Amino acid sequence: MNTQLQLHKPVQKRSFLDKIKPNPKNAGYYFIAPIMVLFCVFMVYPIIRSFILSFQKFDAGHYKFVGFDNYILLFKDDIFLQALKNNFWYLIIQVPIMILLALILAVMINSQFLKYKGFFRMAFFMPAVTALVAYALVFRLLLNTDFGFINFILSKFGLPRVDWLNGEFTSKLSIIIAMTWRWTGYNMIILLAGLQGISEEIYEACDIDGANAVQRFFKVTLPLMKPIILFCAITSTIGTLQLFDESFILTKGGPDNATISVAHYLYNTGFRFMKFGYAAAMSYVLVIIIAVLSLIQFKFAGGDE
Amino acid sequence: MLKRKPNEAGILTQILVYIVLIIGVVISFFPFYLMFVSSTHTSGEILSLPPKLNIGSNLINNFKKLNDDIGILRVFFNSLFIAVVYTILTVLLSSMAGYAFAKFNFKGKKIFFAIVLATIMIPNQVLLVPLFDMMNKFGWINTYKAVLIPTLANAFGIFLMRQNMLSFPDSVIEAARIDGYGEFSIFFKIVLPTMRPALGALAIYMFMNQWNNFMWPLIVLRTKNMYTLPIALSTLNGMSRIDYGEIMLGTTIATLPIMIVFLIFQKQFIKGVLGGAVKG
Amino acid sequence: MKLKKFLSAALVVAMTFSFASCGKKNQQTSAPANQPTKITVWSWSTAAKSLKVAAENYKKNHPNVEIEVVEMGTNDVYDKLTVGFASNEGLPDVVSIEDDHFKSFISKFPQAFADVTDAISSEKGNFLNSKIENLTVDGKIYGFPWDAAPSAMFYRIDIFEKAGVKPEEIKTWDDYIEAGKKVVKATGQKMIPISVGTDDGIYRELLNQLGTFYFDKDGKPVLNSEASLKAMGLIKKMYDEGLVYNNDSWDSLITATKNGTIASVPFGVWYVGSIMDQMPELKGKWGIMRMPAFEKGGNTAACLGGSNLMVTNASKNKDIAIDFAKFAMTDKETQLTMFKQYGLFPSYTPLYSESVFDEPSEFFANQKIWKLFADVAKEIPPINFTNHFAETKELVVNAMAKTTLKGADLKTTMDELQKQVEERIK
Repeated sequence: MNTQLQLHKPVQKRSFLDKIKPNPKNAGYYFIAPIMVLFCVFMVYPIIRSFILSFQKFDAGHYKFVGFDNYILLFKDDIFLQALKNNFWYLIIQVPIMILLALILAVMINSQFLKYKGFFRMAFFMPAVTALVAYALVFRLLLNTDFGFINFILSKFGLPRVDWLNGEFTSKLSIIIAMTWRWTGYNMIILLAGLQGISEEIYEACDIDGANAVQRFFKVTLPLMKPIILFCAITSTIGTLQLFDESFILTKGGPDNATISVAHYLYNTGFRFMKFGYAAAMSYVLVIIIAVLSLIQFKFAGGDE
Repeated sequence: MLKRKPNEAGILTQILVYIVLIIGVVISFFPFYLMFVSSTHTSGEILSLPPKLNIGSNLINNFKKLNDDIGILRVFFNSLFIAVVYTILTVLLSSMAGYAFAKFNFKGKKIFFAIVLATIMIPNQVLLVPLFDMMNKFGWINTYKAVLIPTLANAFGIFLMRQNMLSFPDSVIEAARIDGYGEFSIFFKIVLPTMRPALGALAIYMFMNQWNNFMWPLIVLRTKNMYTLPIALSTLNGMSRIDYGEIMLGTTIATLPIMIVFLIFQKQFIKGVLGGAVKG
Repeated sequence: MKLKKFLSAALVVAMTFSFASCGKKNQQTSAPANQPTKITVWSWSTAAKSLKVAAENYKKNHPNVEIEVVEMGTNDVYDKLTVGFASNEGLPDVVSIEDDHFKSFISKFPQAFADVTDAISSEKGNFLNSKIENLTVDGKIYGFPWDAAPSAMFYRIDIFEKAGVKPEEIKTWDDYIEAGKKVVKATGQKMIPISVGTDDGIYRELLNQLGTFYFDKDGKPVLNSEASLKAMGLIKKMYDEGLVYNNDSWDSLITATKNGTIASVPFGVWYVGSIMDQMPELKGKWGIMRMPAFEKGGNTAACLGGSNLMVTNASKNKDIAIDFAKFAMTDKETQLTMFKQYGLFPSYTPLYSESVFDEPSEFFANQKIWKLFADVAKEIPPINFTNHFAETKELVVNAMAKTTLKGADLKTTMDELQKQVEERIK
């Protein structure tokens, strides 16, 4: 070591210590450092690697660089396009229905006169916490054409049996029903939280103006709830576009790809067909779609952040 | 609590609300009921017609089989341990990061935050192979930390805590600084205690996620004594011989803790979610 | 690499030493026999349980070998293997793999499995030929055949009687369809379960019967060949005639079988176990016969399923792992336990001369079912699964849904399918 440097060292050290001592200017870094390290190691790095992978082809134990081939192939892949279509179908039908339903339930549970609120909240929230194995099994038992409970009830009322999991339309419907069952309560809780945040004074002011319940809902509740509804819409959109469970366990994507989701096809491509590069490319296309949709929703709802 | 008069909503409206909610509850709960009831039947009974809705007599038998096959106690402990430790760590780390994003100005803040939010959009199937590679290099395969640590990088927690922290008054922090509090004491002694609802919400959310986590633990855990509940239950899903009664009991056992956690924390959960979503 | 090391070191100081410990994995040193060694085995449900028996038996002569059998779901084994092979780490020593999955793994990961050609040579002729052929790539054998899955027709004796159908008169698929019509008419039940929207098992059995598959011997897709049209055409015909019960999942198949919704099931031998386990009350009501042929005197043998035991190349104790796998697959006592207790039908033919194979089954109306399955097993034509099986299967299932559920034209659909497959596996 250089002697000159050693001479300077004590001085440098003290000022360095002063610098790194937590103060209002640098404390942010301290608070953020642990999670950022975790993010870089366990998120950013794998993301970069899989991104590189999306330009490669894996065969016979080796990765080969293929440029944009995977991406180009993707737009000629009719199953991928079908899966995209299915995802949009779910998005357009299921998300609005679910959020509307969640909003209605939330408003009801928020009623002043209602007793046992805790019970209702839990009852509606429960589906969101089901373990996947149970969810799969129970819903297959419920939706089975010949032995399922739903058809059992239908036939008790003299209605025809419905081929829940095999019809081109009914299978999509089944997935939508299952998703709605699972996630309505979750969104309801978030919306309920928002409703409870609207202060009584605003409603009281409204009461003096002589607005009825419906007017009150549209004039006061809805505008104030906009940011929360937006929050639900965006998280649901992301959830729907990454939909995997229902397609995988209820219909296996069938019949004839009528219900397969992009994430399900992605899993098949990577883990069943072992085309890792192709699967990676698919996931980045999905990311772009999600990003664009979220942005549109923000702009549409006029959110500022 | 009740500021408005209870008779404000007409009796008809009240009845209607109750009817709709009760129908909703029945729909929500019925699959669970089916699951609980099925766990007391034999596989054959579950699959026979018409569907069995009464309580059967095979519960003890199913439990014995379940315990023989997956060692329920150990597996339950693994799940609980991983979920609890994970919840504590992630709540702590997320609130620290959320605090930093909400209350400090530093270089790169916006970029960091954008990165964090962007990761929500990545489908996690695509990260499995690179992550598994790393676990091997670290020598973490078949350890609790392999399940725990990579999943700590969770954007949702950071986002939720940041939203909640935004409403914490800056003046209080300033006052504390003048009083000579260090940055960390401000955070732990002044800010965090006011964040209980948000912490509760995050805790439920994270506990739930980790408790039901399947794909990642499956990939990194290698022996039966390390398995978590979802993975152990998945081993029962064999090829041609499936014991539905046994599986239903297993899933019932897997569902109960979450119900309990939610029951305990639900008030905080709702308030905490509120803080996160309102200022979105 | 540098970046990763740096970041991980920053994360947890303590783990730095682990980099050193994961040095060379591919050394093929096998410990001397007197040193304790441990091998890990991955398998699923009954197969895993029976391997535990094999491990016990093996230890009697090899007290120094510790064998850990890890049980998991079937798909879970494949998911873990895929990730493991992709990074060539975290793999077991021994693993079970179904017939249809083997080629995909070996083509994507040529170094995946140990070459056991030498180890198996003395026993090669004792295994079913169809199984050995599936495991052979470029003249090398990559595993030990395990259970075979000869198919036969399971049928409900009482339902057939009620409909006036005599099983011994069903020789061809045409006879079968006629019988099916009678069953539907007399009982209102269905004749055959086919998951027309989710699984093409029956189509593969039919192709196998006709001595072909999705692919020909050179691995070229032949989905619009005459045989393929015959097979898919038969399915379409049965569906159009209203003979098919469309089971959308495994549970609904079991339920239908149990509740007498279906009069017959053309399945692999493993269905014996499912019937006996899940529906003990149907004792004496089920019979088993050979599958019908396409024409009188034609081949009736086919298979559905079956698996093998492989050793991974990554194993540090490859020799011992191979020795154990060979023991488990060829030791008569072990194989008999696997068969009797866990219903894994052996592909190791010397076993077929054991007395159990000649015993009548009380459950199945005192028929000698095991003899029947053993006879069928020997006649199964080999199947060329190729590495494109999984992807092609998805497309075939879709085509099947089109011709049945949507009533699309057979020839057009199969031509389209052929084109689709050709394009994808280019």
